[in-house]
Amino acid sequence: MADQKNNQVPSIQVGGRTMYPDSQGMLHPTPGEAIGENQRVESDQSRGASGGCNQDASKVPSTTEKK
Amino acid sequence: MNTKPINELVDDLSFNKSVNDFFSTLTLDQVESINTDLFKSPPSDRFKIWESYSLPMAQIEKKFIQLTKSRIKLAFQQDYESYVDMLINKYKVTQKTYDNFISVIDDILEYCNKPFFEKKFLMWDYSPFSNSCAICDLSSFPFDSNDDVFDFLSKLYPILHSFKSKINFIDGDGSSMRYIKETEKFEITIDKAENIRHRTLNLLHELAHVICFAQDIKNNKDPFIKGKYQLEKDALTIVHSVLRNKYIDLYRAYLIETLFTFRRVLFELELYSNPDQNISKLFASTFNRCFRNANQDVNPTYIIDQKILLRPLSNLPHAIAHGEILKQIIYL
Repeated sequence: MADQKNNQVPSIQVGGRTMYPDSQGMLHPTPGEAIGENQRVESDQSRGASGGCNQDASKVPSTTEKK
Repeated sequence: MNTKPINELVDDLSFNKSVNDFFSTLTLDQVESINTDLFKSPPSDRFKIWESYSLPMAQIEKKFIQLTKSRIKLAFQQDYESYVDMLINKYKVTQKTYDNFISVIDDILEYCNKPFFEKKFLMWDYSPFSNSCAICDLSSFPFDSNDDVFDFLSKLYPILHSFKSKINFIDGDGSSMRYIKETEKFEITIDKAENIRHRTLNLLHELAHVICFAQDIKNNKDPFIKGKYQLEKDALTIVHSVLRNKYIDLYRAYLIETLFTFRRVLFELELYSNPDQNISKLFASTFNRCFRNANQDVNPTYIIDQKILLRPLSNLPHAIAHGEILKQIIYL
């Protein structure tokens, strides 16, 4: 549940973990990310939580195309 | 857009309570372990594995809708007309740009599907548990290491050279770039869970941000004034340009990867416009809209996409920026 102490970033329990909400209802893993969200730009090339496409790097064809 | 008054939404819509309710039913630990187990197994086994979890989908979907409505309520409480309205304001997207994105998106999806129509990726899996990857399917790839990417980009954008000593590279969770004004340094985090292809492509994206920031700093401009949408558009303009001009096969694969971005964002836009619907059907129909050969009926895997659960529409700036850039190519 919500927890807000003086001068502290509000936190919220997310299934046994503590996360930090921003005013848009997004949940961040650290207070720093919640506060500094506007100072960070992130990639969109992600499949969510799965660690990308999950293809084993060792099974990906080797690099040959160099220009 | 959802313009329902708050009193038409359910009574008990405390955001904290909705978060707690949802993640008590489906914990983040479960989400992570399902992702790992499911997608590491062969595609033919995935439906059985999913069934073996016996997830209480009706309950999860009901609580997911509650969580969505509680976020919409946050927007109303801040005097926005809708959740989407709040976010386009946050990302500094003009209403005209947003409306234009909505009006051209189907042409853009058609363009991104061209590699499929040209039969470049024959073995694509369109099932709900698909995790096909065009990037990894390529028979060759131009980058072996971070240095390869840096050398490639700095030849095209020499300004990058002069900032090399100011960039700190970190292996972390997710990929991002942060400029620390106080120290005038850049911190690039690259997702350690990804394989080398995705790591180098993510690095290309983050270095494109560094180039744009470096150009702004050189011109005494504050990059942060632009807002997230413009920051992404600037960086993605570089990414599209260098891949399209130098590595056309990789660019085709990149467009297909971009379809996943469009899919997530189109799903979220529909969801936050009308949360009272069958969400698994919506997730399937947005997949079918983005991948033209697909014919999914229901797809419950939205519940294991952490971006959808934790930071909805965080890829809206990327999607609109991709759309603006591709529009220029398509309508030339």
